[in-house]
Amino acid sequence: MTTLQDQGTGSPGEVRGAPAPRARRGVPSRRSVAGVVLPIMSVGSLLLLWALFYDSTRFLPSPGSVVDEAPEFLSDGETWDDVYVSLRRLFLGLGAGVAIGVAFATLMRANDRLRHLLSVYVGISLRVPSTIAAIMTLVAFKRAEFGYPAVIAFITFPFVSVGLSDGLASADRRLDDMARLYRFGPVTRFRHVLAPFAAPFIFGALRNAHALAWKVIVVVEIFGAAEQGIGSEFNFAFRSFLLVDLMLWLLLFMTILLALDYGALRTIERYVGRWRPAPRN
Amino acid sequence: MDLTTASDPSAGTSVVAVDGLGVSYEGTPAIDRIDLHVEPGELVSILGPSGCGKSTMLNVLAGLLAPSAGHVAIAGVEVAGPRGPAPDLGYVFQDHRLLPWRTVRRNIELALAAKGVPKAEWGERIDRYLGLLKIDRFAGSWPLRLSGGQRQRVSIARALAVEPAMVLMDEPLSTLDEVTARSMRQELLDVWERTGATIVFVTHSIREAVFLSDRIVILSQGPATVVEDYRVPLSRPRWYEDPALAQVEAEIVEKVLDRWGIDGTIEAEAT
Repeated sequence: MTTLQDQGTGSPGEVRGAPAPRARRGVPSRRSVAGVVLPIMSVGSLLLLWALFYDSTRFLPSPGSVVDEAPEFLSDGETWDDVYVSLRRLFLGLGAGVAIGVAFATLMRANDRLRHLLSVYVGISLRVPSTIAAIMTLVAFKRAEFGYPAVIAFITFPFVSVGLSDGLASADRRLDDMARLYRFGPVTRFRHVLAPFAAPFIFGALRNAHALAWKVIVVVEIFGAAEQGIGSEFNFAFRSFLLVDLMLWLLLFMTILLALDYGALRTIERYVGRWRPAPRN
Repeated sequence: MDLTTASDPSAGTSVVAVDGLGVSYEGTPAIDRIDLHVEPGELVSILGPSGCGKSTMLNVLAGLLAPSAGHVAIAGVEVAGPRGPAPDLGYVFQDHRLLPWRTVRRNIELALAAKGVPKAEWGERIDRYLGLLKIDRFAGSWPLRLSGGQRQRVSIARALAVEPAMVLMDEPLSTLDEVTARSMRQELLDVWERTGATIVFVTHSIREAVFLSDRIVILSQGPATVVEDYRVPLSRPRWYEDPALAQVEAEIVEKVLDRWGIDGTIEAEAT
């Protein structure tokens, strides 16, 4: 139940990780050998540890038994139904979280009074433990389906808002002056001046929010006693002491999470940031 | 002269007409009184010590700041600050001010689009001005992959490509190394001669002003007034190391020494 131990991730310090626009990135801006091989090696080392030490624990099944069960697990339509349900909740929630976060950041930047007002909301939702948020939201929505994305949105929006606000606060006025002198209209200014400037901050915040959303969705599904979703399957496997199933779900969960982070988010981020000077080695 | 920038067709009208300009911030004067007229095709330098109110004056010309007194008109249109109509000018800043996330071509396209130039003309116009600045091969490049000098060329190409009534240049070569700056000065003159653009060039380097300009408007220490509207008595083409040029420079140093005082920034280069 790794997911239950990660409640502390809502610390504000995490958001500060949003990258400075010109800073050299931890992730290589181009697909380098190190950028592909090293993450694979780290995943491989975890699998190796599992293979070496599962025997000395009472809660880890053998890799062999998991591999044996995998084809049936993966070809079962119900597996993917559960994945779909969780993904839908996650993306709806994350989408709403990003939208609210961007709106908050924009409003906070536009008006000083609004900033004082809204930053309290951001501060509160940043610090409410996600378990509490999950329980309260689900109760408030009477465990309706809508409650799941609502929790995700509530948990993720402050990360987007803080990350983006910090980014916008560091914007210098020089490009604004240029845009004014060359008479750029409001749409052009937003599309070509402000949005590209804010993009790295949005991506940084989005990656944090995305990781957090995955942690939270499982918890929410367990607390909400959802009938479908990855969390409900975790819960069922755990209660029934189906260790192989638990492991299969964990592996599938991690695969989807990493595929979305490395495969989708970072690829898009690299494309959007392709204008940066190539890192010198 | 298909390269001629659009200037006011009514001959005899100054492209830039500044009459009795005064600017004060909360009662403190930044500009006391400036009169300045620039004719079509002229290259006029504005020379003043640091803190004399040059940037204030540029902000007024650019329509970012309203004058407290007097009138400013560019191409016959009154410039009255942020609420008035935007003046028809191209602007070259000290730093390149290119959007780093847009290619060189796209950067210029955005300025052309904002100016209302029909899309059909963009390609030819951009190629022409990038060619003029000898950077046509970088049209598809990202600005941050270019050298400082190349970026500034793009910035100049952008300012010229909108074919404004006047191009305002605010110490555009001051951040470049001296060798690059020298070749850029020479090329700037070539481009100016070929386009017939009207240029107002702000600098604190006396040598640079003498080398480039038809006239030099010398400002006092702030709050600024015009010390002298000086016509550079040198024929073109000019040579940066020309002893005659050094002599004119010395003459101007002499003029401003008392006015600017010991604390005034005088950047006379050693010959």
